[in-house]
Amino acid sequence: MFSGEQPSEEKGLEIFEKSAGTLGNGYTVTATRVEANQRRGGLREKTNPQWQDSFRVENMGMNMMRVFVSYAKEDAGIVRDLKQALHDRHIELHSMLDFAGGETSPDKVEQASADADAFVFLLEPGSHAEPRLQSEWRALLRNDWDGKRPMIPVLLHGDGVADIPRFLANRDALVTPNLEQIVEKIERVVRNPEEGRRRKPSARAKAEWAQRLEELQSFGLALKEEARLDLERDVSVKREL
Amino acid sequence: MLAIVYSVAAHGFAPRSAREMEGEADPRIARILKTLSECKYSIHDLSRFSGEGNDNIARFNMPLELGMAAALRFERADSGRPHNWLALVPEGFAYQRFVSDLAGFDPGRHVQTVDSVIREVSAWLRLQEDVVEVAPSALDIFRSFGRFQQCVSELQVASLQKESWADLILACRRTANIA
Repeated sequence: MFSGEQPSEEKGLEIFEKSAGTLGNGYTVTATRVEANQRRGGLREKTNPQWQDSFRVENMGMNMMRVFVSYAKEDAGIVRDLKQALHDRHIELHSMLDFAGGETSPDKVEQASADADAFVFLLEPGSHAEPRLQSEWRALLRNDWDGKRPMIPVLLHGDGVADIPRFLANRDALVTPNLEQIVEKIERVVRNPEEGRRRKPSARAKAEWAQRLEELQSFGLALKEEARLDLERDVSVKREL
Repeated sequence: MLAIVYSVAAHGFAPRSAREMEGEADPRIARILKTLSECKYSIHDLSRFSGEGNDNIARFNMPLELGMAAALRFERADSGRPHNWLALVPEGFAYQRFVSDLAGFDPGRHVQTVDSVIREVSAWLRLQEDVVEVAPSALDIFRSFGRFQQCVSELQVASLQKESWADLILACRRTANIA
């Protein structure tokens, strides 16, 4: 979309430079650089405070927001339609479709998702077992370092919570193949990120956590007891000798 | 190692290791196999691949254990008792030379810092079906890691510098928090 975009290497960070100027669609690029993302090596960080929040495509004061969508191959058509519909609402949609020739490197997903304001997961029954999606989701989760990135699970087909991966269980999911509903939901979340963040833990989730801690405690104490008995046995054998 | 152990506990899993049976008479490899076979998930850090000491010898224990896990996964596919593993490798592509059989997999990469390890392990654990719903963010785990280390140090002192696996588990229990 940005004609001036060219990757460059600087101090081990991948930085994309953007030329200032006016784009064909009437948006104006107001800064020259996108925040740098230190790939995998550590935290997502802005390398130069002067660049902070400096990159936004503006139109009448409205920011062009970025969303990364993860999808199963059979849903590529929906993603194309979604991209166009969201563009009309000043939302940029990024996905594997952006990579020419079907390149599927996790690094590319990682880079593309690092600057996204929200993640959308278009899910099909059984999606969670697909290795390509698992790898893509891992890349997205790496970029959710503080756990605050809005995420929108959309179950396109099927009807069950079972089709929603565990890490999305406490997000408000949309169950519909309807494009207009999906677009509206994405726009709402992008304008109001809280709507896409994790809900407060339910009583059931808290109880599950308490039970796991209890099991951890019992396991640790059982190991300690075993170690004590082993020691006693050793001492007793040595005495007999 | 501590960052991996703590991350595992913070996602509601019980960290296991052959170290938990150190007093037993079984050969080490038997203990590793026994422990591994009792687990649904395993994490194998291959990041220390270069030689050490005067003889410049690299340790091969981790690749050996990863091989066991890969065999378990293969053998148990569709069995109702699956096994899933994560290999951690150093940042970059050196792993494609020292363990080229991993080509086609997507190993976790880190730079041997606590935050990079937590980030990788957390991203993988959150995808597993048994993870707790209230798993904290990687940042929360990183922030509480210092308390965990402090707790481990105290237990080391209490056990005359010989902390056991049980102590690590109990330190996890004391410091892990929900989201």
